[in-house]
Amino acid sequence: MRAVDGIDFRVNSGETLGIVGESGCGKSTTGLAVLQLIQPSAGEVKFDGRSIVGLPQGENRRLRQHMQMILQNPYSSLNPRMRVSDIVAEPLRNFGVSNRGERFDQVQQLLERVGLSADHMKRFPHEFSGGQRQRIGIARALALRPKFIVADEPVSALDVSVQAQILNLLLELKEGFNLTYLFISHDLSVVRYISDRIAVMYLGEIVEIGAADAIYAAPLHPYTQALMSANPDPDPHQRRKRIVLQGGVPSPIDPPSGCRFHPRCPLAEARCRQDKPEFRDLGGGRSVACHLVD
Amino acid sequence: MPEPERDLNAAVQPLLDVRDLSTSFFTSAGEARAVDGVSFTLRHGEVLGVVGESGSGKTLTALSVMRLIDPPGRITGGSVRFNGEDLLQKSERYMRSVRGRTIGMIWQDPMASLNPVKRIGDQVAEALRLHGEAIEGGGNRRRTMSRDQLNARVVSLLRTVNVPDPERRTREYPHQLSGGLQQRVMIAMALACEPSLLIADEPTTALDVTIQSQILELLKHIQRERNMSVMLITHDLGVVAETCHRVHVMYAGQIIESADVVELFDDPKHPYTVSLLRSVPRHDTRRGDLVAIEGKVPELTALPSGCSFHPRCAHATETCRAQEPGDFDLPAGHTVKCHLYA
Repeated sequence: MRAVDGIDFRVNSGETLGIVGESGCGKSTTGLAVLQLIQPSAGEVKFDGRSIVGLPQGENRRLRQHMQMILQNPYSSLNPRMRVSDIVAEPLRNFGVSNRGERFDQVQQLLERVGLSADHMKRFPHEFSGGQRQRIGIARALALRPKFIVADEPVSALDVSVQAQILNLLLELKEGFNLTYLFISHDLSVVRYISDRIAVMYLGEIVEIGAADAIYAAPLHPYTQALMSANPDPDPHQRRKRIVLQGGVPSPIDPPSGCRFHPRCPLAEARCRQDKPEFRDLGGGRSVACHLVD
Repeated sequence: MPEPERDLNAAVQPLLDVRDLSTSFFTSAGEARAVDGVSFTLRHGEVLGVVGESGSGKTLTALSVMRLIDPPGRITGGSVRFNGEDLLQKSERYMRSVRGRTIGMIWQDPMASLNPVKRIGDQVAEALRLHGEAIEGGGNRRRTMSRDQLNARVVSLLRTVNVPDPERRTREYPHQLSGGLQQRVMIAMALACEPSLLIADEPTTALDVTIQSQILELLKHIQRERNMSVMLITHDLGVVAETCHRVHVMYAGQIIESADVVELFDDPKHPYTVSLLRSVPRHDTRRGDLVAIEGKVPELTALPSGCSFHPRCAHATETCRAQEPGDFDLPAGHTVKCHLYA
């Protein structure tokens, strides 16, 4: 099964690239492959201009300092038997900050940076709310001063009022730490809010990529159009014509011929069933994989 | 969605009239007032949204209406008039004839609601049998439907909810269906007895957004066609904006604001509603515009004094800390539980 199939994209230094798509589209797999947490069966990942696929273990480990991850579920991604100070200090310990006092100072600073206080250091994860736990996970990801962070659905498990806290924190930290984000989410509104550029994935492929504002102003791929029209907008005046797609996402074990979206595409033509559309650069940073887009 | 029809009957008596409904859970940590004096009405053909964050009491309000509260929880007061009859005064036997027959229910997780070892067709047939729809004829000629008649009815129900190839699906098990199809089956079961009220608790939360829009379109279509009343419980303000006529916002077990949908989104009054609307991104939100609500939803066993929202409220005064606000009626059918509007 090809969970992610021949995708090309780049994340420019200092930007946030959002990857959006429905379950099973390969967005999380993409994040894991970028971090070398799973080995891609083919293809290349370059970080800072250097290929990082198949590096020897030692070098791969050194790379981890620069690339970190924030996970979706703040309940399962923190060890319930470790104190907050140990959770946040663990990367420091693993990467050579051997002085206890120095680690303590750094952990304290990190916690304050993410909106927690030094009083929280000796507590266990269960003593915190979901939003606070996500802050702990963010402090841990920041501990080694990475350049690049993959955030996989970092606000999906949180209540709406808390989502905004975490999104604003991520934006603020990006400036403060000069971070580059790969932000993965199923939620179009959230992705739009945080991203400079957006990649839309469907069934293991990127179908459209471009500047966030440009894509939201005028989505080109029929899937992007449907996805955006399906996204409920909290504004009762926005009664757009909704494009309701038929059926569900097919199995990636036996993907459709030609364009993978053709069985659900309201505009599909004969050639869409036979020929796989090329992922074409339309200029202005926009690329689309669709026969019908000029 | 068009406004519900205001026929004469509806003007006289709402379908559902809930007054001062309270439900508490009695735990070792003390009494948790999960539903705290909730009052609302639901008219014939109206789609009512109940919106709130986790722990706000929206699901427990629905469960209390259905009298599905298990110990250590207990309904501690109020009335639930459905078609004029107070359900809280009725026998359990009477309730069984209401649940699934005159009031249909669908839940968030269809996989957890369907029996994994029973074929789809048998489960839908069971809904028909249990709720008395598998009987045809009247008086002395009453008899249960034949197997073939029952099957035909099941297939036609599945067709109503747009399940493709329904004959084949009746022979399949829940795990062979996608999440969207499972939810369609749940809707078919809820509709089996043509209920006058459908309670839908986060019916699309577990689904992908393109599937969510299919299910919402289906619910809207059925609602309009049958002039059914719907109580839609959700945390998603977008879903509310697109589906509901009227909205109740819940916080810490209470309805803190009610209004028609456009009025609520255009002119929210309660500071919690105002903040909630500003904390979710919409099509025109610019980066940096999201305003988070600081703090978190309070524990029900340790509610703040006065107004439950006061520790998170920018406008809180001494009065808010000391006194619980009452409900204040504003123009345009807008009600708000906040001292600012006293």
